[in-house]
Amino acid sequence: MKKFNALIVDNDMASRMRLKQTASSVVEFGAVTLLSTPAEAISALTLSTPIDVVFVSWRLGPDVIRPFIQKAKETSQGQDAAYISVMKSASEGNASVAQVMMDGADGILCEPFSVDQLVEITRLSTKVRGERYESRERAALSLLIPDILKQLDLVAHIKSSGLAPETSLKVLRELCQRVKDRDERSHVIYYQIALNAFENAPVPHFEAKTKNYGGVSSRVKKRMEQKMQRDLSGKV
Amino acid sequence: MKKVLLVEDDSVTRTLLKRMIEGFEYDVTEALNGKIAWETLCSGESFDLVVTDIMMPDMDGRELLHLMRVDDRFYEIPVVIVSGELDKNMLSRIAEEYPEYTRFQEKPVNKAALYNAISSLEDPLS
Ligand SMILES: [Mg+2]
Repeated sequence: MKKFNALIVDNDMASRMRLKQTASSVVEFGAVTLLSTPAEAISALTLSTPIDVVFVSWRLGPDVIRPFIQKAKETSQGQDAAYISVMKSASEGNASVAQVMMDGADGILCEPFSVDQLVEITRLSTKVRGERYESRERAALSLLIPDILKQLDLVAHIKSSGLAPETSLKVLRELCQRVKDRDERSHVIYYQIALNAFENAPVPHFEAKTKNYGGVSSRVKKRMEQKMQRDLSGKV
Repeated sequence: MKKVLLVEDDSVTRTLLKRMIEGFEYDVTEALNGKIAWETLCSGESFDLVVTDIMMPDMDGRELLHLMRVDDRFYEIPVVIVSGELDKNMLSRIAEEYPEYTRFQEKPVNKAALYNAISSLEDPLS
């Protein structure tokens, strides 16, 4: 089972500890990191550890929450994380809920909450985020893989015609590196798209049109002979 | 009007060369690297001459020249290689590998020398 890695951003120590204890009491959560300021959270979101969900406390205030979520969504880990706004109480009016959604939150958790509520809202919010990630990866790889196939054909063409490729091989390596650099979550998507692209790839058509370079062409050879004969006959 | 495929990644050099070659009464088609040049050739458009740089992204001049020289469609198209200081190593290999229909010009390209190289390629046996 995939576990949720979480960040908790709350300037109140007691309440962030409460959330952490609740999260840590269930198997659904993996690493849970406590942070007291948005700045700390932004730093954490630029590290290599994947973050699935960010809990943002109402105590930070709407003026802080909105720009924080905006900025967090631009970070490497934050772009695909789910943002859950932790609100004061379930009795808050619709206006507050609307405000939270406008701030960019994917879900709302109201204090006091049960373990089940915490798990359920996390699951729902991350599901939406995960789908967004997948469709973005799919789009990116659908562009990248045909480029790789084209470059592969070019390298094969150069090789089969007897030259050791240099620049074209370097470009192929760089393109492959871009796939390798993707998050490992997208590897499954990569295999799907790559296999499909391979299956449907046209047969490279270069073979029939090339020949091994064998020095001067027959046409030039013939003209050279003619020229030699002209020169010779001139001398006689 | 004869047609030249000009292959050069540096836009300043490309513009300069384009003006020079147009001055010799050629119609110039530009390509930003070897790969684009190769695709242009394969698209079926015919050219009387190719003028190409060596170091370029995606596909270099040596690779382009090689593909042309092993291809029935393009192996007799004359090629003028324009090379800079950084291309020395590759240049000597090209000169050995593809002497036929090939001329070399060092950068910065001199207009008269380029003209002589191009006209000497029009009939390599003359
Ligand atoms: Mg260059």
